[in-house]
Amino acid sequence: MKTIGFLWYLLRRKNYITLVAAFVTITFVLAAVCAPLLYDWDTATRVSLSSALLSPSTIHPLGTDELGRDLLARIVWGARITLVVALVSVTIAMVLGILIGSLCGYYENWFTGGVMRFMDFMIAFPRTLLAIIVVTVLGSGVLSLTLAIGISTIPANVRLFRGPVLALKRRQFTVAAKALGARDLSVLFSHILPNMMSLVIIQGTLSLAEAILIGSGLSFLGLGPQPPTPEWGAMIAASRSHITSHPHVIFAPGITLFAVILAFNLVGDALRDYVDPRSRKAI
Amino acid sequence: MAEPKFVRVSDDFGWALAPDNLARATAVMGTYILRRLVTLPLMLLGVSIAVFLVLHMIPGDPARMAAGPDATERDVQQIRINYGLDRPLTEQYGIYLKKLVQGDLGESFQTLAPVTEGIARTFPATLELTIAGMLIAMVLGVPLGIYSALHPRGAADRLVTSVAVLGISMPGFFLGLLLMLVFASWLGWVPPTGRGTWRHLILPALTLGLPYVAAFARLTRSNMLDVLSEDFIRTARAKGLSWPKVTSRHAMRNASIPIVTVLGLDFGRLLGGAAIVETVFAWPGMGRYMVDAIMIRDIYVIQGTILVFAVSVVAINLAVDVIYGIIDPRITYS
Repeated sequence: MKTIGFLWYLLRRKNYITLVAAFVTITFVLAAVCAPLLYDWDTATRVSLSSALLSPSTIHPLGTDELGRDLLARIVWGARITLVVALVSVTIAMVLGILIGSLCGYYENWFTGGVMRFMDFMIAFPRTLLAIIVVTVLGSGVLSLTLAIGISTIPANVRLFRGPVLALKRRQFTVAAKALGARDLSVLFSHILPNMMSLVIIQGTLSLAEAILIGSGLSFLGLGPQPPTPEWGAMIAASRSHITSHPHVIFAPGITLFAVILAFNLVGDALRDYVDPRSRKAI
Repeated sequence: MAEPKFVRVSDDFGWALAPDNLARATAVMGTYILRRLVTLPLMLLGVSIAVFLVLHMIPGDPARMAAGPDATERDVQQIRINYGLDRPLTEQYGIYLKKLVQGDLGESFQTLAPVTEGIARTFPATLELTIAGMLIAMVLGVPLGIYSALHPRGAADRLVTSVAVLGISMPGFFLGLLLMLVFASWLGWVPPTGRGTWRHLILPALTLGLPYVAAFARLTRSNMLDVLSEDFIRTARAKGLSWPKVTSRHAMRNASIPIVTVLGLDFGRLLGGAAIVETVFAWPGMGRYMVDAIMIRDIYVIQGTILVFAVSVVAINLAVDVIYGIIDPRITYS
């Protein structure tokens, strides 16, 4: 219902670009969920050199890659991997980020102060590099890629979610709840956190875009899922020597990747305006 | 010591340059930089411990990897003793730190060449690339931001606000491949890969810098707009100063403080993104050196490159803090 409300809001505000973006994200999620119904895993991974590097046709709508695999099948299965990696990593980053952030905001003492100093130091550290270090420790693969993206996002989330807690814990309704004898954790979880839900939703959407961006970058470097797993970044890395002769092998996964990231960013920005009309195009 | 507080740079531009104040400001800045330099070794020590511990969490036995697949159990044990890998962790860290101070980062298992040699070969290339990328982002982004702040709701203004989201959505490797396809393969203006002349640098630097242009422009624009609405700008105009002077001296200097912060953060981010751009353009930099080492689990190379990256980030943060003090004498770091 809320999705339809949001789409209606976009239509009413004549924000057609974001409307298209919303449909791109919905298509992406549908493709990821329905991948096994659309193509079997074998079509996406079986090598058949006789049909290598074919141009788009009716049998292969996006053509084939250098090992003769149907590009659309690989992109659809890649959507599934991308979505799982992005959703799980963002969930890790959000849950731990909110937990540490709200505790550090609620209890202000030397320990949480120290934790925040550490987080500040980690934020100064480039995220791609943090993720690379985590992959180094865990080895390359889907699971470690997911953890790498999740863990490297935690510091930024901690700082982001600490701010509102600091402000909300001084508000009257919080003070009132405490005066009525509510325990610390119950104040935090049933009075403070519900007031941050819009921030959580917006940040979650924008984090998905960033998780997909970083994940594809690590996969491009060879630190993600290993072949023949169809991951968009890894697909581009594998096919890039054919870019001059057969640009479609790069364009198909590349444009899909760019479109999906862009769509999540646009939807996230629009959600911010939708949830909080005051911030509507602030600058 | 009377500290120079609550003095706006633009109220009187000559303030910081007046002999009396200059001495005072230098003294304040001097003690600050000194204090930061004292904490610097502590931070580096922390970084070295972190990197050391991280590398010990990597699964696999480094001695066995160094020995190669055909080694006997005795050879492996010998290597373990040679590298000190049989000692307790704290003792191993002591050895590591001692070697580190002497400028010894160990050697690559694969090539047997010292890691410091590899870093000395690749780090300048990465630094060159990162600085060039940063310059592109600044040279295009900052003037664009100033221009759109001075002409609100103009064409440049609308362009900047809408293009920024494209920049943060574009995967660096895809942008790099597109630029390579168009400017190297189709147009043939620049060589596609490698390092050598300034022409080799153009595409990798563009790939690294372009996504930040719109972001910098947006940041400059919003900071400029904030400053332009302040009283001292009106005063400066009322005194009869021309717009170019007001913008360059009074507005820009005050608007540049948050910009420097983001520049510092983004410099680190560019450094992190360098590995991807280096892979696309076969640029012989440290990011690629590190990723190649990760692939074959070449422990000492990984350890050394991560350490150099971490130290660079610490150094950039220090530089940003110092630059603050130079552009804004109000910041006294007491």
